[in-house]
Amino acid sequence: MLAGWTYQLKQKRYLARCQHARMREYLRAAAPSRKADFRKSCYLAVDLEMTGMEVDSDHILSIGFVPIDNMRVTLAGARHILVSSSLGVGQSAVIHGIHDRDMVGASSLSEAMDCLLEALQGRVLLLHYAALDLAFLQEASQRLYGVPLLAMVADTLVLENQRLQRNSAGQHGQGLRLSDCRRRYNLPDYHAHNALVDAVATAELFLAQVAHRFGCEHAPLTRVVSS
Amino acid sequence: MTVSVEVAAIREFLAGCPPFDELPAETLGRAASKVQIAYYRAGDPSAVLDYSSPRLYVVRTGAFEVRDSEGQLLDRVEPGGYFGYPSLLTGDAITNQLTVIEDGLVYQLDGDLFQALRSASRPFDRFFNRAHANRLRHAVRFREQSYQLTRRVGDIFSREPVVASADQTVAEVARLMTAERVSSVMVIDDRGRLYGLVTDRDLRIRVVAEGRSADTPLAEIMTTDLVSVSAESLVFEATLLMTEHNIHHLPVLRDGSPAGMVTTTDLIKAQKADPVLLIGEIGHQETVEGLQQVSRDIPELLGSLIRAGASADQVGRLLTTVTDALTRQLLQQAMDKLGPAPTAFAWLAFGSQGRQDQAAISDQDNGLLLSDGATGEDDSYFKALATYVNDGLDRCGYKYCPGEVMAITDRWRQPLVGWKKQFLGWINQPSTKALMHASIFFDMRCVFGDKALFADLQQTVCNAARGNEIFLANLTANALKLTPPMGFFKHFVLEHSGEHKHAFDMKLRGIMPINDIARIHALAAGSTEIHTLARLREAATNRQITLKDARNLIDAHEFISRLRLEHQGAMLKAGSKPDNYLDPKTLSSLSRHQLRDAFAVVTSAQAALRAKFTRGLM
Repeated sequence: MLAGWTYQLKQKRYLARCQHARMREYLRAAAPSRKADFRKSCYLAVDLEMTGMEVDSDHILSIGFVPIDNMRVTLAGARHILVSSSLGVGQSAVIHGIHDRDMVGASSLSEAMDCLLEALQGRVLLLHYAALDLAFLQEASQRLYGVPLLAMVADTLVLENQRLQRNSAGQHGQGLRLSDCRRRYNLPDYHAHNALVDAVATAELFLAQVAHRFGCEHAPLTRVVSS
Repeated sequence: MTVSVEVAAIREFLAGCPPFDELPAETLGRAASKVQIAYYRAGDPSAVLDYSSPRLYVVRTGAFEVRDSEGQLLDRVEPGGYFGYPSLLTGDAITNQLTVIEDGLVYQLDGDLFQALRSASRPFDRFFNRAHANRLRHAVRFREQSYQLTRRVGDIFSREPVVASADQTVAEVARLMTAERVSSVMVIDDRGRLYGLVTDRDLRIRVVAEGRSADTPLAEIMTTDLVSVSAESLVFEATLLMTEHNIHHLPVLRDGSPAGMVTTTDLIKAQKADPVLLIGEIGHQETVEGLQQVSRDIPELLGSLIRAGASADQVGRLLTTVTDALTRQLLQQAMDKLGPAPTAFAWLAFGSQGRQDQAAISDQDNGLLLSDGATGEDDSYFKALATYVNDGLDRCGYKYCPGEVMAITDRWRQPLVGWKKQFLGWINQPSTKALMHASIFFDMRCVFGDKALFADLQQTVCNAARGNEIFLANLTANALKLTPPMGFFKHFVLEHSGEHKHAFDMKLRGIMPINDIARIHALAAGSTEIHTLARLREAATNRQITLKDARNLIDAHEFISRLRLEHQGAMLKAGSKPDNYLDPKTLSSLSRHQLRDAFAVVTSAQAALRAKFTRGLM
């Protein structure tokens, strides 16, 4: 886990390297406090739709995000941004239902990332299976701003895995997909599949997970974030 | 980028919750895009309402209870239900408490948005005002019902006052009292004000014992130094007064004029109208005569529940609980007499007792399920057992079933294998005719005995019925024969024959069609649920019907049942035999309007049922 001082070190190093105004503003903002109770922090649940799983050959199709303030998912801050690409949507249309014809009026990746940075400022980045989405975000950040995306990350998949390991008896082979996890908390099935719906679904799952794990017990943010 | 976006899943959910369904599409979209979502964990004390800023809470999953500051239950809220609106409507500070019964997600709309929606849509505004009024009424009545001590005198006195004037003779008033079957009369002056009281006791002590003539005017013998109460007084105040003055008759005044008389008998009756006490008493009876005596208090219980504003669902459950207790006590008595049962058995209740929605008039519908090992000799034991219970129930006011669906009938007293054969016959070789009288059997519940035996039968029935298209089509065809009288409002011509020519049979044309719809959906899903409202909720959870349709049907069921209860309560109070027939002329225009809505809900649910289950088969 990234300790507080490593975060600050990276913050300084990236600021020295990066000239991009949007990213500089993002980096200058105060990071959420690690020691304070996690309920005091603000979060941004994010989900990406990509053309595939390979960072090198695939690209981001859309970004959906929704903030959590005071432990409430706030839809008024939700966005769903379609990302245009010269490569076209290709085969993934089958999964996401996003077709080339829908991409009219879509944003460029740099507009989309600027928008994400603005929303993420001062918040914990919340993802389900962070490794994959984070790889794409890092790649985009590196390419657009010359530095990786610096963020504290909470991962609902990791939280769920921890929970299953804690009550390990007879719990093997339980699915960790977003919908599997949600069902265990009696959360509703959302049938539509897009980046925003999945971001909302991730945010709700997070609220359920921390309610079950901590109840009203005080817990610092470090117990919730994985990096 | 400042345009907010909406999440389809949330918009769709709201669109299924009245009154959001009444909002214009664009307004609904705007509302959905401003929702906040929170998760509450059962038993978490930190899960309280946000006292600083009132908001509308819409339950998405889970179950919640709203209690007032004294801990009195005001509302139980399930998915699609609301809380938090009273302070939004009144502007008063939040005083109610929230308890999380089952973990759940709750959507929240802030106060500004709620007010904007109210001004944008009249139906939206009206919905919450009505909900608020209902909850208030419920709260007030609920309290009166739960605290015997807070009941008012006006709720318990039995009849209109019998009055006389001071110049009438003793002979005249004695005849009047005999004719009216009362033990006292109120003497009024020429302005109709209470002036004196004459009781049986006065006639004995002041007339007969003192040798006065029958022509003596009342003025000479009446008591003028009167103690009285107002109809608004509490029952316990009346009780205190009567004890203190050692009197058995207490005149009740409304605005100074005689409104009635409370007697010690009324007070005793008022105490009996408590289901818990009644059931306790049933458990102590060792003879049929004892049970017969106790069951005389059931009409009084029903009357007091209706006056206390209990919902039709609550009343149905309570009355059924009493019937169940009587049945169990009779079985116990029979076994004390006949000795222990030779094999395992289960006593089954069908129809309204099975569904737990009994009303003022109930016939018996029951049967005996025996273990497969039962011999012919065993059956003579069970026949004797059934005879004892069926006769006992009849004497307690549950008339013999006209269709003979009773354990005493050989066909309805069978080993497990026989019952299975019977049910599988209905299900696998269905005919509309054979199923015509069979539907009550599919609302079966084990009242006493071996639960495993019953579960075996129930599971066989559920498995055979689940998804069985031909069976469901036949059931549906029967269900569609009973339709709500939509012509009701045009011509007021209803039942075409008999003494109730101009009345509408609330049970047959209103409640049964909803029971049928609920039963068919439950059987289609292979569910073991039997209670109509629970079946409808389950059908919505299984997505067999929409949440909105389920709620509408539940409301319609409650409304018509409540109308029936009020009608039966009035008949009981007037001393006549309760029935199911509603005369449309007695309805207020509001009730008529609501009844029309309820009929429309049933009619459209029947159309959906026809489309779903009879397509291509009928």
